[in-house]
Amino acid sequence: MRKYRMAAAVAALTVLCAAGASALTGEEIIRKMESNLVYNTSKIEGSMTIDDQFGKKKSSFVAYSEGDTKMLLEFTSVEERGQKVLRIGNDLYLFYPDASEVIRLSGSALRDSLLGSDFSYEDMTGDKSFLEDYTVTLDGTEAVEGHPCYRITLTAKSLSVPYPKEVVWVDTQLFVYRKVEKFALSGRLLKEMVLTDYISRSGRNIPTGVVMRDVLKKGSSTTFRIDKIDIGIKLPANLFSLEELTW
Amino acid sequence: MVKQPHALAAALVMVVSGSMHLAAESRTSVDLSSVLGVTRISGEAVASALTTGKLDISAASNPNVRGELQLRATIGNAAAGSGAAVTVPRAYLKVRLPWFRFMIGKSRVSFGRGFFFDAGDVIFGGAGLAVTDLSASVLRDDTTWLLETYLPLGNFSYLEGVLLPYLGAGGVFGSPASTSLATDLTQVLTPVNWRNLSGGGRAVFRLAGVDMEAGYLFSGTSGVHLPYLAAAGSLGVDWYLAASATVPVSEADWPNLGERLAFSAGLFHLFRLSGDASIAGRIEGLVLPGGSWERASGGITPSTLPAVVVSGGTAAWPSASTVTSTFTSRYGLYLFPELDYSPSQALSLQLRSIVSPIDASATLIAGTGWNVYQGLTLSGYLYAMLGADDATFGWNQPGGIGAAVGAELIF
Repeated sequence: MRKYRMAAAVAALTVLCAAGASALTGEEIIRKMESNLVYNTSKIEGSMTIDDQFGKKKSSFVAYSEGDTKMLLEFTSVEERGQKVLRIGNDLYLFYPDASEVIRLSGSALRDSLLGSDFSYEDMTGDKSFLEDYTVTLDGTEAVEGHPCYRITLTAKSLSVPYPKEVVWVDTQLFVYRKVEKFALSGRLLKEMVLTDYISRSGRNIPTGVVMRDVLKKGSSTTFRIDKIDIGIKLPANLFSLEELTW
Repeated sequence: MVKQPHALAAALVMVVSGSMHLAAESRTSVDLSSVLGVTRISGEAVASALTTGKLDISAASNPNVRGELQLRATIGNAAAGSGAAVTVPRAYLKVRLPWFRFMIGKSRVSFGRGFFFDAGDVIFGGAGLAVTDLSASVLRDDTTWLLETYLPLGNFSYLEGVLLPYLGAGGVFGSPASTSLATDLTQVLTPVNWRNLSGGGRAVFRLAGVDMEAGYLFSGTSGVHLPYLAAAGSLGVDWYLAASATVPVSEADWPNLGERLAFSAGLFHLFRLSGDASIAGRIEGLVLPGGSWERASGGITPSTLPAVVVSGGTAAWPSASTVTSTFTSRYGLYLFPELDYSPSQALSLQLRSIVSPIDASATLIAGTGWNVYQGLTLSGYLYAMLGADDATFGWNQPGGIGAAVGAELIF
């Protein structure tokens, strides 16, 4: 689910690919989604808003990407302003402006929460399919708010993932998720993620709005929104480097 | 407690209001924090209050030019030990040219690797024990006036040089940061003998998947050469280490160099629990081979590197034995354990300690932070020093035990 969730948080990139969908296995559906998360280049401005009984807390960011292995994310909201995350391949670096310090994330630190969200730094690393962490079962098809979807159950192979079980409804036409349910080890439903908005651009269907609700906390939700996205733009040659990270 | 931050913010805004309207594309942020604490001083329980306001203005109008001005005002009573002061932690310009970039002004360059202990931080010191706020998210953020040049050599490699005209003592034990604007002004208005200039550089590169760093600093203030090495990687857990030597200019004294070495190492591991909960553990150690490995009767009073004596324009560098004494005046081993548990997106529980195993003492802080509203974090801490009267962290030292509550607002 890692790339899947990262798409909601930052990239929200999927490709319309409906032909031949009915013959797909669960793994093939997941791989199609993963393979559709790649652009040549992109620039995204977005935000994450946590809404609970105390009100809304919003964090905003701008992210640049090149292929599926390079990304530079800079937080623009005032509380985290200047903090940056650089990903090149499987290497992830953080920059904290107060300490003027670069920290390389590896191993367990990759599992740390990004901005206190459900998304981890590991979600940003490339090459590793979430199929490595989950076994996939295609349960059949169900409609979500009138949209035909594949219902897929993901069962974790180890306890190294935040949710031992997740159920995903993937649109059979758009190959974007319509709904995700996340379960505890006991089988109790913890969180529900729903696609609220998407745009079609350059033949791709791009989720631009996702709401994650904490089932255990009444009135608590996290909304991810892409405010602006540019695809296929020219990026500076040295954008994905330690030099840019510390600039 | 409510009016104080607003008054402070108003004062800070007034200071810079003349320049704000000129920089239409600048970005401004304000960080206000207030702490109310109770501690023990001279056997009496006393209350103390400390309010800090930080105004940060950064220019972002040109992709190749950046600037930042940061003002910090602190108001505290005597028990908090601060009084009232205005400082300029950062005031710099950064310029990027086609082949390199440079920065001039007051800022920070972080040499070495480490969160609390960092033997490779030969500029600001990563082996000191004097931390004013062990609850802070960033424990080492000292700045100084500098000229920095940065030459990128690929995605992961670069060369960096620094010239530091007003560096304090420098070295692995560092020196107290400037505590007032007057001190800053005195520094920049006082001519510096060229022999007292400090400078150096580092090469950062990757070797076999390990981030490597090799650097050197000459401290003109203390009259010492400071070469260092640092590395970081992952073997199941994240690890990092650093080592440095302090070599007096006046007398290298190579046979006894071992007494002036410093080593630091750290391990970090994070467990992502169910949902958005996580728990992280860190342990760092500082080893000073030349330090005392037996409990010293009467205790140990750490001192910083001796400053060079300047008389009639002639600098007198300290002797090797004098420099060595700065190491022998410390114990040979210190530890920094940390445990951080975050049960949810908005709540964290933290336990930190500095441990001096040789004299069986430690300072301990346990606290919690709660991000309630946008930009607002409430916190509460209990802290204590656990050790004999003459230990590094003696229980009866001023401020040796206490509690504090606080609030921080960033907008």
